[in-house]
Amino acid sequence: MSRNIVIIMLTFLLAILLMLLQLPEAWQMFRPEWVMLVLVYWALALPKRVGVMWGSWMGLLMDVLLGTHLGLLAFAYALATYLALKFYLQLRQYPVLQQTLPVFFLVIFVKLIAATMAPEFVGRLVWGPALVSAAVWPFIFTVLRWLRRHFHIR
Amino acid sequence: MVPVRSAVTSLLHPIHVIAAAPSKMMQDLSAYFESRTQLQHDNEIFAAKQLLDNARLLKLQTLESENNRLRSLLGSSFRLQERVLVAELVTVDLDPFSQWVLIDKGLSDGVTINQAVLDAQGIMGQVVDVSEWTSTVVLLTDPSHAIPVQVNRNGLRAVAVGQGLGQPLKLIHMPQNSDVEIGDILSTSGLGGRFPEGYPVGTIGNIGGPEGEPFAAIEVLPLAKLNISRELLLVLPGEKITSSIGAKPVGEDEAAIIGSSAPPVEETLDE
Repeated sequence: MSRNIVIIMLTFLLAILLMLLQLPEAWQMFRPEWVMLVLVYWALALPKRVGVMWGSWMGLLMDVLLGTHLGLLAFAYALATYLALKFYLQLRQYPVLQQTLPVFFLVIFVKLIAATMAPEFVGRLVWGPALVSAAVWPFIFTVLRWLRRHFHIR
Repeated sequence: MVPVRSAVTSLLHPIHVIAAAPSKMMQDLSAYFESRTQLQHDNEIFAAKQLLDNARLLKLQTLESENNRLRSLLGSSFRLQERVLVAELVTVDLDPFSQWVLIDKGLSDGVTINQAVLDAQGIMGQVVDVSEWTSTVVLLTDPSHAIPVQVNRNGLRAVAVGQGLGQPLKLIHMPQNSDVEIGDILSTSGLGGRFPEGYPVGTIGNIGGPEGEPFAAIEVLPLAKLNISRELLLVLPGEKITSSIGAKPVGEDEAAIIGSSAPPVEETLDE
């Protein structure tokens, strides 16, 4: 396993821990989709390396860790990664702030798929995470780009 | 698929532990820095409560033996003493779309799927998923969860369904003229075989009779402190007791507790 893969995996591990970290109840609806954001970043930056398979494996991992129905998040993350890969040339051209809009819609997509098992909460648990995820995207983008350049991940 | 999932969850146990570490550390720190006067104050309260509870327990024991004697006169079966296992919450957030919590006991402690989970006040929910060292518990308030209950006052049976965290449960399919009153205590009816009989579930909070609807809209406020309790009890199913207690006469008051650090407690929730 090369050093590149290890660093990419470490970023994912951190994102997973942030997803599991216990928040006060009122804040839970504002938790960004950390894992999906990291997935989208690596898909845009290294489309040859991080693809749909990564998306579905990370999703499966999250399914097990969060206790959701197996395959639900796997499908959602795979779809998000696929869309990011489909348009990566276009998305890369946008300035970071403009990238927040597609990220916003990707999170809504993922959250809607995750909500199919509990349609009662769609109103409360879809918009909050999407807005916050879009807000933290510039931060994630900057940090991960620094990491990628610093360690020459290719 | 269930064994696969359980195995993978066991494999990923370290991730849960690391994710739970920060909030656990916060809890430990705040407990460590609790002031001396506060502790003394708490201690006094607990001592007084202990005295009171002991007195109640003595009375309950005589009542229980009397109850068992009367039951034997009637020829009906004894009510078994249930064993409990003390578990603690693992402080991680699970799927936001359902009311699930993770607890720190699993297959290796004898937890099985469908086991009832309660706190000091009442039923909290049931185990839906077990791995080697942890298990997932679905709370009463989960919209996919229903529990068979009966009204303590008159034995009326009903089913209470969850409506999401912070929302009361609702009793479904109850006729408009059914005999329930605000404040009635509901306990598990034992029908369906999942939950042991006689544990408190909630109180009737609000009764509405919407016009033109066939059924009444009855709200139930759960007694268990669903979002506060950190320690909870797992009820081990009744059959296991006879085998493990062995020759001891059934109905004798014997606190059968497993779990190494747990202090001995008596099972006193029988009504």
